[in-house]
Amino acid sequence: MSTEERDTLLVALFFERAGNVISGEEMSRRLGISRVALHKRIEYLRAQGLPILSLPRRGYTIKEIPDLLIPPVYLALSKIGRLGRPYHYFEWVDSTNRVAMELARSGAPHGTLVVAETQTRGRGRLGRTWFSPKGQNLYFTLILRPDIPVLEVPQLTFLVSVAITEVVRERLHLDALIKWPNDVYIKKKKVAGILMEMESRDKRLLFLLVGVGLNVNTPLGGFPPEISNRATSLMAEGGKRYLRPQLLAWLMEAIEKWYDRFMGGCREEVLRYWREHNFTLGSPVQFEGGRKGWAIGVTPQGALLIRAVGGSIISKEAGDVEVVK
Amino acid sequence: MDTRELLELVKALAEMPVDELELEVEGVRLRIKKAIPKPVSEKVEVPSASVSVPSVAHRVAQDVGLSPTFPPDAVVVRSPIVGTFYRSPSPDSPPYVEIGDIVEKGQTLCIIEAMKIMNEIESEVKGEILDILVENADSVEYGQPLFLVKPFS
Repeated sequence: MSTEERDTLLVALFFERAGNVISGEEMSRRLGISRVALHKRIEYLRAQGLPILSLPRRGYTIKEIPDLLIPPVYLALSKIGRLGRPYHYFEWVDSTNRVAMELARSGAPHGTLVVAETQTRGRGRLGRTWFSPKGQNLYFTLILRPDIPVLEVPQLTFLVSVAITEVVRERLHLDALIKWPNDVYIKKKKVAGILMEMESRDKRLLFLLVGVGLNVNTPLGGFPPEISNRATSLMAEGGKRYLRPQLLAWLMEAIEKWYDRFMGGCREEVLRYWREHNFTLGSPVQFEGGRKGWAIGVTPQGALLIRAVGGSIISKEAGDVEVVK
Repeated sequence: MDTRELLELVKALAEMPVDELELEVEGVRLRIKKAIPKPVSEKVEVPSASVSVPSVAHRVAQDVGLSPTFPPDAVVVRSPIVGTFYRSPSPDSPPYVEIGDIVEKGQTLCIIEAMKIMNEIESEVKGEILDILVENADSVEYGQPLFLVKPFS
């Protein structure tokens, strides 16, 4: 067992019994290490930021699972799957996509996850920035390496929005819906954005970066004025704080589940969930800087079909489409 | 001879078993050659008489779906996906490359965006940018030529 695996087990034990005292003797036994070695690991985890309390002659305790994204916390909460490991944690980065790009180019494996507490240059489309205050929300980039033709990659954009929407709806019971192609909204305000980047060679995908910004615990009044009327957070909608490492673990689990379905040939399921949980189809939309029409469908490849005023049908693969309120 | 007469002439020629016609009227010499319909591509509508201007030849050819001719030594960089072509990382930043620039192998030439997936297109060779065949923010098709790069040997 590696030191990381042992630390993960130790933290998982603390979380399982959060609020209760566990004796040093029991811990040593369960981990198969000496009391001295245990003491060293606990000192190390404390230095990492875990709030472990020592109670003389009784043992150790953690009052509650801390809202920290440091590796021992995330790894203890996440199931051992393929996505989300290796786990790279940073207190701050310029952009998680930029860091992931560097890692992917030097061969980082499928499933590698880059997480940051804050981004100094969080990226949106076309050089726009993503609001990334420290310690409040989730900012991460996942590296995927599916062996598929480049032409099929756009379908994966739906997949990630479907996974996020499902977690917010099923685990948190908030009314999340998707705006074409992949933004996640609650009550017509954006709660999550996805920006993907890819590299390909000879029409095959080399890797795909899935960059996600999810507003978790930014308070209602915490957004800058220029986005305050169209941005929201899970806390603003749900009325309570959410545990980011737990949420991240659920997201990885959900992305993996949908990814396996997709790669296993059940691509219609992704499209069906998308159709059933979006608010773009059937709405009047504005596109290409002022043209008006109605969103009438999506193609299996993910392009949006718009019936423009005047009758012509347009298929859009990219660009801004605004749902007219 | 006015446009109407000229068009009638072209129309008449199209129906005749004649491939080429040359005539001189009032000091204007005119030569019309019938294009032989070839099965170039299933989508193409072959015009009965076509005008070609060399400098925009490849653009015209692109529009009608014919395969354009490029300098034999140039590397054609094509779009791997259907999407929107961007010459710079953001609207306020300068383009990745200009005509005449020397690019390294692996240097980013542009971004193609499809459904919020950013695809950085890199040069496969070290060389000089001979031409940029698409305007910023244009929609591009799968396999559409984007750049001509003259490789350094």
